[in-house]
Amino acid sequence: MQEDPETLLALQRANIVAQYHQACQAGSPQDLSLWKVTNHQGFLQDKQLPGPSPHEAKKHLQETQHANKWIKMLNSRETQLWQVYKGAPPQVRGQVWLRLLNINKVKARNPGKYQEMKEEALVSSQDITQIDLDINRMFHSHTMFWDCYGAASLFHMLSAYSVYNTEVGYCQGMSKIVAILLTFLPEEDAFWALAQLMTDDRHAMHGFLIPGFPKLLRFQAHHEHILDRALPKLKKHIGHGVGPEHLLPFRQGEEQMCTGIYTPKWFLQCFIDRTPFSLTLKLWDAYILDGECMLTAMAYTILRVHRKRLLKLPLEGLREFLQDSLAQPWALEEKVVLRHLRTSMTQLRRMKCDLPSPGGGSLGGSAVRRLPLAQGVILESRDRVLRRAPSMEPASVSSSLSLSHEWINKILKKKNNPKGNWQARLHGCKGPWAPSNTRGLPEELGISAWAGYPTPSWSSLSVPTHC
Amino acid sequence: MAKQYDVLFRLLLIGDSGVGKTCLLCRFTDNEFHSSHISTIGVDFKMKTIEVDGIKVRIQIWDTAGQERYQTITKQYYRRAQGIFLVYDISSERSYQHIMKWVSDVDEYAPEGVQKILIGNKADEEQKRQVGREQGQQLAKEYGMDFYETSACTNLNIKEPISFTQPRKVRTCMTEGLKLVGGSSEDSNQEDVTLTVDTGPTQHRLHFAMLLGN
Repeated sequence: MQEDPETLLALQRANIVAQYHQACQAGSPQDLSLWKVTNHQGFLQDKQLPGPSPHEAKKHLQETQHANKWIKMLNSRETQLWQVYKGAPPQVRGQVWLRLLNINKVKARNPGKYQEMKEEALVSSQDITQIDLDINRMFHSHTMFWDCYGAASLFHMLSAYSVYNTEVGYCQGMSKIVAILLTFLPEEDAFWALAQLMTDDRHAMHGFLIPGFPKLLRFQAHHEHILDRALPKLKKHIGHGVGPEHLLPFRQGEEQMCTGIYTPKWFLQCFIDRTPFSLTLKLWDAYILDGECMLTAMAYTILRVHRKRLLKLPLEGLREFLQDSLAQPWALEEKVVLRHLRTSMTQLRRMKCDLPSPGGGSLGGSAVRRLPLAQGVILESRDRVLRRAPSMEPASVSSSLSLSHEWINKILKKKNNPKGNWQARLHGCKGPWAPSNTRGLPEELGISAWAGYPTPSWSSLSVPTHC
Repeated sequence: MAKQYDVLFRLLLIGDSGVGKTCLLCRFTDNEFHSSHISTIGVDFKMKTIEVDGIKVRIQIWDTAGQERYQTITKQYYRRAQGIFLVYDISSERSYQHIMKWVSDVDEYAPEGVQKILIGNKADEEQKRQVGREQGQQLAKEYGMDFYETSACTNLNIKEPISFTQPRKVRTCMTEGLKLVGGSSEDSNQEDVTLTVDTGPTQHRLHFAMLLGN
């Protein structure tokens, strides 16, 4: 007999939940032989790896010594976290992220919340099927997620977040972000790290992932603007516009790429899968430190560094290079890439282009008009709110790197987090965070976020019309 | 610089998340299959230029994200498509039911009269089948689409079944030099005429399921 779709769906849901529950009960298999085929970053290889060469052994030793220095630094008062640009060793990455995202504080403010969300998700999350689907096809080659046990924490975290922030729910692409967080943080910490990344002042990824992608549209338009000003030749070569309407069929016998094709992965996931894994992690360090202005700067850096090569490539080559080849090891050392990134950040700041204008500005406005959904307008207004407040911190942190450390300390030590009231309300709300609740937040968030911050740090945002 | 192609076809793959659109694309263009594919974020495309007796045919296939919210981005690409593959997974009733929604999106955003092809993918997973072959055929008939059951995994029916939207145009371009082999499709879809092209030393056989006439 044919079951009705509702029943089938409920059955499917029950199966998925049971599957992850069993995985948790079973625990992680302890097959130590796996380590013989696991590389430095935790990815499983096809064949057994040879032992470390003398050069590699020396490198590991240096890394351990470097990690020890970082541990000392993290324990001391003089925490110079801007040094992530020089490369934070993987052993301390989790600690650094904890500090930068203020996770301990948020976690302490919400005792038991994660567990509550996790349990609620199993009953009420609308996104379980999609989450399960995406988990089953990712990072299988990484030791963290190759078995069901590792995947279970990924599943629980994503489903918990989907009921915690119902406006974002689950958006494809989040699974990779969460996987990166889980690689370095325990499950509950990773959950709060995600919550912070979504709504905190520096990152505000919320606007990137909600339906309509208002923030993505704004960042894409801003990326175009940067190319217009700083790399006009390349811009002409790559093609105009973010949408396919700009994919002209013939331009001197060739077609054009457009920024709308390669930027979603760059901005929504901060370069995951589009740069070599070890570089991706370092970019994530920089992103967690400096926030969204790093995204515009890195997008610009990639094109600036490779401009000569890109100028020679036809459409097919451009696609292959930007979507595939960039994920292969670069000719440049990672430290050099990060140096270029910092240079770009300074350059863009000087051009007053480090961030797009807030959602209501000229570009944001046009982005909203491009959305056919009325919903997009509402969502954009929410995004604007989240963005306006957020930009205070990133601008201040990044506006002068020499001040970074001082600023971060200020932010970390600040007793009354400017967003505190708003967050307390968000986390404290009993039911799921409904979109209707969020409409009341803007003004309060705006006011509280503006309070207590010195004016110079906003200067880069006070001229949004140029960018 | 010499022109790289004579005819360009833009084809679009749409359908629910996880039905195997990206796998189909990889089969189409690279003849590869990876069981674990990362989810597509936004859109991506791959191209393949095939030279058929002096005629360079460039096929550009656009792959899209399946999750509903990505439609904000993906539907912008419908307008320029000349052919649209609507893909469902034969082991997922839900993905089959959603085809109706995808069809209405195509009607709304794609150019009028665009050729639509219904594809039931993962045909190798017979034991998990939830959607009968007849159901697929019936749906395709209802909406005036052509229908194939394919498997990116076992390479069933994906010897590049590229359906051209403007048969007349293609015929004009390709009337010469192609061997016409009738009904060699494994799917035994008798209305189709499959053009088999032997590309020379590599002995790689390319099949074009040319849909002749509307």
